[in-house]
Amino acid sequence: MNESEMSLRVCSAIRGGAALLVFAISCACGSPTEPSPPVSAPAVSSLPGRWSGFFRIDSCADRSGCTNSLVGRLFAFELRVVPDASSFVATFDTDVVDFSLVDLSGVTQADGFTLLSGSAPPTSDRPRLQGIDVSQLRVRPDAQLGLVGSLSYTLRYRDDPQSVTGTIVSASLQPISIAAATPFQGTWEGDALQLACTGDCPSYYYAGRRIGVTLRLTQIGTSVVGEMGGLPKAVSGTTPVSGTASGSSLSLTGESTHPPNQWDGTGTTLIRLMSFTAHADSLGRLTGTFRYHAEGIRSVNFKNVPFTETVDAELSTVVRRF
Amino acid sequence: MRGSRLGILAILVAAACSSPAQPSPAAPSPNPLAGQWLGIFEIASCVGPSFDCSARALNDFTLAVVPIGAGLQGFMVLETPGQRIAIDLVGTPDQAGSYAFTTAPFQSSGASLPQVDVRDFALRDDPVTGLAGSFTYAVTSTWLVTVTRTAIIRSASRRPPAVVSPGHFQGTWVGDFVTRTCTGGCRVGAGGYFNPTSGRVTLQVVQEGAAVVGSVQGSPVSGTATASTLSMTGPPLTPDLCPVCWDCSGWCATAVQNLTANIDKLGRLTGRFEYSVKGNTGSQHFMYTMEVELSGVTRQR
Repeated sequence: MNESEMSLRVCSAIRGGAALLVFAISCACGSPTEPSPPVSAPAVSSLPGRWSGFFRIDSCADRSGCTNSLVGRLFAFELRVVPDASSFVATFDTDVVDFSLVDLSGVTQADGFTLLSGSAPPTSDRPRLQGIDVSQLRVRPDAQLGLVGSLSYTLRYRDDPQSVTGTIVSASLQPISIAAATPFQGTWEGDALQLACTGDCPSYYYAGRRIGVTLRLTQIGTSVVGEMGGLPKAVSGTTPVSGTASGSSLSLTGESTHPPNQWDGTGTTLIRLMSFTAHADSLGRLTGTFRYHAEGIRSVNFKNVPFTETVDAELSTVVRRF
Repeated sequence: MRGSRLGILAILVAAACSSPAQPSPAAPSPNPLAGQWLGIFEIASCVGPSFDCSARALNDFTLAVVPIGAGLQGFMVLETPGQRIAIDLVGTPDQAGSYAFTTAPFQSSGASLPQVDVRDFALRDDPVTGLAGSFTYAVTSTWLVTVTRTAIIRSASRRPPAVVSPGHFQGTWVGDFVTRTCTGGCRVGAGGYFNPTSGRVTLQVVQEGAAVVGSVQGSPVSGTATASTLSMTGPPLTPDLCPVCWDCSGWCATAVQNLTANIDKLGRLTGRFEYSVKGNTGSQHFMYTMEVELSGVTRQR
């Protein structure tokens, strides 16, 4: 029963006299001085949208004894779902581990639950964690709790995989709101994976190396301007970028110069984003590739030597911040 | 007889609520700035120590605006690297269709939150970029270093409200706490100075009807929620002492009790709780309880 229904029932239960009159006026008019509390609107909805909620870990199995540290704990998640023909595509993001954006797909079962599954790729800067597999995310909108269901996933640690089951406790639903005229406007965050490096590439520039990417973009018509952060990792500054948008496709270039470290004269002094081509989808994901060129001074065997490098990378888990 | 009484009652109720002689005014069109916004601002200029002015140019902000009479009331959070600045705003319309915002001069609360002064804040809705405007803000740290930045709002998108929610307290909330009182070994725990006078606070609230569970500062809590008030508490600290070893000085356990909070019209969580801490300094054990107040706490998810 919601608040207004409750008020009506209480009002109708009171009979006669001045008390009735005062109460009836009070019920009918409400209190204009007090702001009404935010409205919770439990209602059975359809699945598509952006669900923000919590799940509770029910079991955890590995050789390190994760049961003690994880079972019973609540973790936040975000599930983005859009319909795709007769099925759904989705992303699942949780703070259990700091990279866990998983691409999912699935269909609705006869019992009303939608069964989703998918995997996230491995990254070489976490050599132990080779990926995450969501074997089953079983969810259904619920009138009281927003979203209910269960999940099971495996963190593929190389020497000690961790298998977890949990219960979707509840979630709130917001629409995935992307302005059709400015689909790239906003802040985008996530990872890219290095494909190749040519030039004076340091030994830790493996294929598969994770590159943190942040884009803050403003779109005016087909013109897009903004900044790209995280190129390369040693540089804390950002690189101004600009480019054009055509429908759901984006191309950017940019360049920035940076002073060397004043203490030892090392550092990346030039970053040139040579190409960046990407596509935005209805889930708020950005997929594509980019190439950057960097120059600077690097300390090698206690000697400062100049370097140049060109890196190719693929956007892996870059999503729009809502 | 019963019917005539009800008829009279209905007339009285109608008369008390409105004047039937006057046509009810048309519903005012919603203010285009009202709502929740997520946007990007550019730091166009910065005056202060070079280290403080070396931050990136583009940063994120969130803005909540509600109409108050002919004006607006707002709450803005500026998210720059390593700093989260919360600003209360009051807006008045100008001739050009913009709103000029002011913020109350900083009143020292004795807390170690930075002092923020905002001026020349003009804001308007923009059909292309969502929002447009500019402002200048000066942040004075607790060690009295002032950095003044001029900011330009580049773009913003509306954050749609939740269409389904298990309860209006549900979610992950992030902001600051400010310590109002402290009892126990407050100075011992802070190396002879004072207890923490402020800090970052994170609350996770899972609501099912009137029942709530979750965590505050990582400590488990549970309780109840009414339409306007959230009440949660967790287990107290146990009296046993923290382990002592060469690298385990500091806090070893925390507890959160007697939290009461509500959501204001700008969507902030306001309220208080008791925050207990125990630990050791390497040579001395301590335990103290702070009464802390939520400050600038907004729903992150």
